[in-house]
Amino acid sequence: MIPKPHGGKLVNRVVTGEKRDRLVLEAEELPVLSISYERAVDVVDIAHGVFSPLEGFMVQSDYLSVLHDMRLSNDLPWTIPVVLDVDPDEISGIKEGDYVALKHGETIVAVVRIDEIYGWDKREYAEHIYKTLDLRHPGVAKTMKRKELLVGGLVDLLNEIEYPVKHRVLWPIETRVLFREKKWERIVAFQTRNVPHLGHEYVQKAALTFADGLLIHPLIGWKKPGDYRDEVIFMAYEALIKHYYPRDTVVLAGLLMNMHYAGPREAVHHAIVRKNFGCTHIIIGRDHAGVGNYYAPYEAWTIFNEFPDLGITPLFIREAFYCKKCGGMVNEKVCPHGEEHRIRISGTAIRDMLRRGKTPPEYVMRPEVARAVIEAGNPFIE
Amino acid sequence: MASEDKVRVEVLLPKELYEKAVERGREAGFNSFNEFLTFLLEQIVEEEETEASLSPEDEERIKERLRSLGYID
Repeated sequence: MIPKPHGGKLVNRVVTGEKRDRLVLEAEELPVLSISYERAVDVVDIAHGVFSPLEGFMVQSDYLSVLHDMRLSNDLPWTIPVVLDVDPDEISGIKEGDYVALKHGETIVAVVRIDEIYGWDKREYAEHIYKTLDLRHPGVAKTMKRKELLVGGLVDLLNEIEYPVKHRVLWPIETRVLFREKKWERIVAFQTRNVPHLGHEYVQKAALTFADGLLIHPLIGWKKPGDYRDEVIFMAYEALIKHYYPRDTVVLAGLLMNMHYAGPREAVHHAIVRKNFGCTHIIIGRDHAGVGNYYAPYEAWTIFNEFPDLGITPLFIREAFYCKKCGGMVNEKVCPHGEEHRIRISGTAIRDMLRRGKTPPEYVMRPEVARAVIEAGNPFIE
Repeated sequence: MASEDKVRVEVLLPKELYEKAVERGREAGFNSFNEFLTFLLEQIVEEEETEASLSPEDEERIKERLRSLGYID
């Protein structure tokens, strides 16, 4: 059965029709807060129900509860704060109860009703969310650059923002209708930001063995230099699905959402979001959403012990490698052979080969996938 | 949830099933049998509100987009 959205109701704060026409006119007269692309992405995610049950940016009680207890103030699991930061100067003269327009570039994206203005301790945030104050952690570095105050309040989306592969992004209400049309009841989500190698395929097919369908759900949005371009990830997966997956078992759709590199907390966040998309299960990697050595091995798995009431089941499938003795992709649970027989797949090595236009060995990457990536021209963000 | 939004009901359960359920709920980290039972009922009994609240026009608009993108025939 397709699970209920987190908190019971799928949020929809996208304003349409006459109400939108009226709000667009009113917004032109409102005080304006300029927001970054990342905050605009948060606004769009809130409005389309990706972050259900959140209907806006968090007020202080929810923020502190999430920070300290990994739950909203109503006790619902939630691990990553969704907050709007502002400068004191920007917000001077604005009081609780006022409405403001959120502008990204030249576009008024949304209107927010200011429910609360409050301070935050960015170091406390980093320590709880990222478990480090090290500025080399990309999440910590971003946090420290954020503004000094937070505002909480309901969001009304007036205009969509621009983002890559827009025609491949589906929102929760759309995947829910899609899964129902397909008559899928057990749906496994797979989070990715990479082109697929055989290790990914192994993990996905292990999960698909007991499920009705697989949602391959690449994160779309900001990427760092050297990452695969969004378009290339889609081309690579399309090649894989066409040649190696049974018909009608996979949905490939993009998810416009910010990446935090918050490791275990973000693993739970990814699970909650995929529940909103209608998934019953999610594959969680050993170092899911990790970066560097900030999180202990398997921490992204053990954190789920604290959330028996999550409403989506994490699947802890071990990392796959090629075993020369077994003659195929296996994992530690099913392969009895020693390390000398095992070939571990290195994402860095694959990138280097593809960058030079070379096809990785077939036990690492399907030739059709490699061809799609190489033929894309420059597959990486400059 | 406020206490006025709750109802007290009496349910007759097989003793063995009840004891197993209490134990299962405790192992899963729930603070009480009441909390465990509420969670199970939410997952199993409640109807999917979202799709039910979609108007036929909205549903058709979504299906049209899914068709145009090749997700459904």
